Amino acid sequence: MLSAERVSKSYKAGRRHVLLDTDFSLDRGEFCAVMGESGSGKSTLLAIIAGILKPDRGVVRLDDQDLYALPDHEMARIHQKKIGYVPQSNILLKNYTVLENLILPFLSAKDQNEEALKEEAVALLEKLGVSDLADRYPYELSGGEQKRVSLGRALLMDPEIVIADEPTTGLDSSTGRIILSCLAEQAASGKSVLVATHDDHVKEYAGRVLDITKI
Amino acid sequence: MGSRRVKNLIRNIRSHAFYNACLLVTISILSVILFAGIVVSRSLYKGMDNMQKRLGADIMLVPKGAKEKAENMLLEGSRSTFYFDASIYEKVAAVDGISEITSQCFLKSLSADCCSSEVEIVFFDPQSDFVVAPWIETEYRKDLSGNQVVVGNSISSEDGKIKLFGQEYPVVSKMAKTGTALDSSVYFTSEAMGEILENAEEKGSFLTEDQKNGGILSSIFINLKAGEKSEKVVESVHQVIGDIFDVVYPKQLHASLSGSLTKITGIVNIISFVLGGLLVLILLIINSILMNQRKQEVALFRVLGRTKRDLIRMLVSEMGLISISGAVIGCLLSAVIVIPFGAFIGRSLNMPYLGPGLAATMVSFALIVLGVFLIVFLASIFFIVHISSVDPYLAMRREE
Amino acid sequence: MKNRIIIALLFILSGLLIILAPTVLFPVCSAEKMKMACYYSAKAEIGLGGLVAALGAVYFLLKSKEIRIGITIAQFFNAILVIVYPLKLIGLCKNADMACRVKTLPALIVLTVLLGATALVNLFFLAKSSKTE
Repeated sequence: MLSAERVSKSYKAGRRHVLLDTDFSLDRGEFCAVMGESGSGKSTLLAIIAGILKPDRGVVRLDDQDLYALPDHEMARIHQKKIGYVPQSNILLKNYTVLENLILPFLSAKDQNEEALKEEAVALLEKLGVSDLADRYPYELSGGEQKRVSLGRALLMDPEIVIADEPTTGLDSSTGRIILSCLAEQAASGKSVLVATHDDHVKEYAGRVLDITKI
Repeated sequence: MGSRRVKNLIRNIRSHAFYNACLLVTISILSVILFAGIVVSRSLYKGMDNMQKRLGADIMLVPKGAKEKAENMLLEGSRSTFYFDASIYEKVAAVDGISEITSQCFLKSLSADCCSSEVEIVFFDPQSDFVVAPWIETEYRKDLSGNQVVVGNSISSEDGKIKLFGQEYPVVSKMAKTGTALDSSVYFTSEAMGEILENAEEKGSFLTEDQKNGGILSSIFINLKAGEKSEKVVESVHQVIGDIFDVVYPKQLHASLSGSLTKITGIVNIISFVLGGLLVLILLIINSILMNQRKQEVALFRVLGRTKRDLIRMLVSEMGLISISGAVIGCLLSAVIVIPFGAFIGRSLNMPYLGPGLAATMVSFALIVLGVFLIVFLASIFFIVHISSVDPYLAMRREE
Repeated sequence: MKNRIIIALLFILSGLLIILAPTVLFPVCSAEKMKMACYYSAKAEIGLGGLVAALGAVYFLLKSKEIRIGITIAQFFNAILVIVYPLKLIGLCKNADMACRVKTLPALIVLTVLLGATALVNLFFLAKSSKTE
């Protein structure tokens, strides 16, 4: 469903090669974890596959479409409806409540109904165990709570693919388990899940675990 | 724009309150300077245009020793009196090279309306006058008769009358403001001179025998025939009436005033330009800092499925709101100061000054708001397009 | 607290400027020969400026939001009075060339707008924060 063919990426004007002719594929309903040391290129690979970092070379295909050859509005539609991305850092809009953080990025779409979105957002927050924080502002939340909100935002539009970069880093083990369980549930319902992590607990949930150095 | 969109715009602006406040202040100051510069320049030029009406003669003959008084009276509207014997008029009129000639007589008065202020009374011959008569005719087309008076814009009259030397005179017209000495005088035909001089004497004004007999005039205005040299005509007048007069060249006065005006507006423009340039530089700096701060947020929106166009529109809308608000605030602030203080500015610069009308002010306002918006737009569009186009992942990582 | 200090300072400053404008900064016509309308307008402005400054001091000292709203409303009407005294109630010299019209009146117009705008903006924010409480 989603594949990367011979992708390469370097930083610092080519002086630091992070990925070199890397191949990767993700099937429907699969939960795959990519593990490795810091700086080994896990996050870079995920970002390239998620369509938010153009590779220096290589092709990323989503359902046989070259992702980076698509026009901007098509790419935006894919990010809205098909790929849910959870960044490593908890980037939340500080002047908006938790509920608003979930729904705001999607309100501009013409076919979106604000009330329906709100209902879905509240349901998601409940699932993630943070529904009582709906009217709070990001600065009032702990790191774990912010991560759960970030995950909720990625899942709100029910994407086919969920990509999460280090979703449990810096969290206590119980919060980490909540996150991983939620992701496993997504995979169980037929979604594709790709995670970059160095948390060994992911082995209990992922169907496939890869070492980045061996891809 | 929906109210939710506007609310979100404002919330986005408030989330970077400090930098946006700096932008707002910078834009307001820029607008203050631009508005003040435009209004002051325009008002000076308008006053200058009107000044020409008062300086519409090639030569002005005044009594010997009265040159400075006459120039001050023309330029600043200071009240003065100086007199010739009226008999010289016919002698001067006979001199070769003159195409038009007229005389005026000036008198100072204490106007009861104005308490301690003085009013300059100008008596003119409506048949021959080419200096003030054409100007009066632009607003009052009928013949001025007997004791009817036309007043300049700064003169107050109650119930359509003005009191001079204890006597009331009907005001038939109050002229539009010119921003020049014309505004602070009252105008009678020479027919009324006799009666008014009598009243002046009754009220204690010191008059000589000649003045009492009405055989006086204050100045003779001359327009030359085409090709005639003013020095030649002056020399001829000398020969006819002797060395009893000084010569004022009104058009030269106007030229030197125009020169001063050019210098003043030049300075105003340079200051506006330099300050404006500095402020644009500050704008660029603040913009680049602000856009850097927004990079992560913009990247997040891209990751969540907003198009570049959407984001550019959002950022341009925010910039637009700030720039228009700043421009409006700046222009209003400037208007509140520059427009009421108009007369004071003119006096301080020693220049004729006619403030803009409402329509002209609104046009300047609109142009500045539009201009400032364009400046801010140009100063920010590069940054906006850049942060909307950077790989979202890199933008998010840079902030970590 | 910050709002109280800033607004109180603005009110006090406005009051002082209202006193100084017609007397020192942009003085009205000389009353040597004769006391004219502008002389009495200036006297009235001294009183009004003192009132504005005093209310500014009271604004700083009192914490109650309702009282501060009341003071702000009063200051708004005081601002109107600053310009109504010379234009209507007492007056100025009639001649447009007189010092009181050329200098003093514009200064009072500026002060009216500044004090009035400060009062309106402050009223808006006080009302808003009262609502959220």
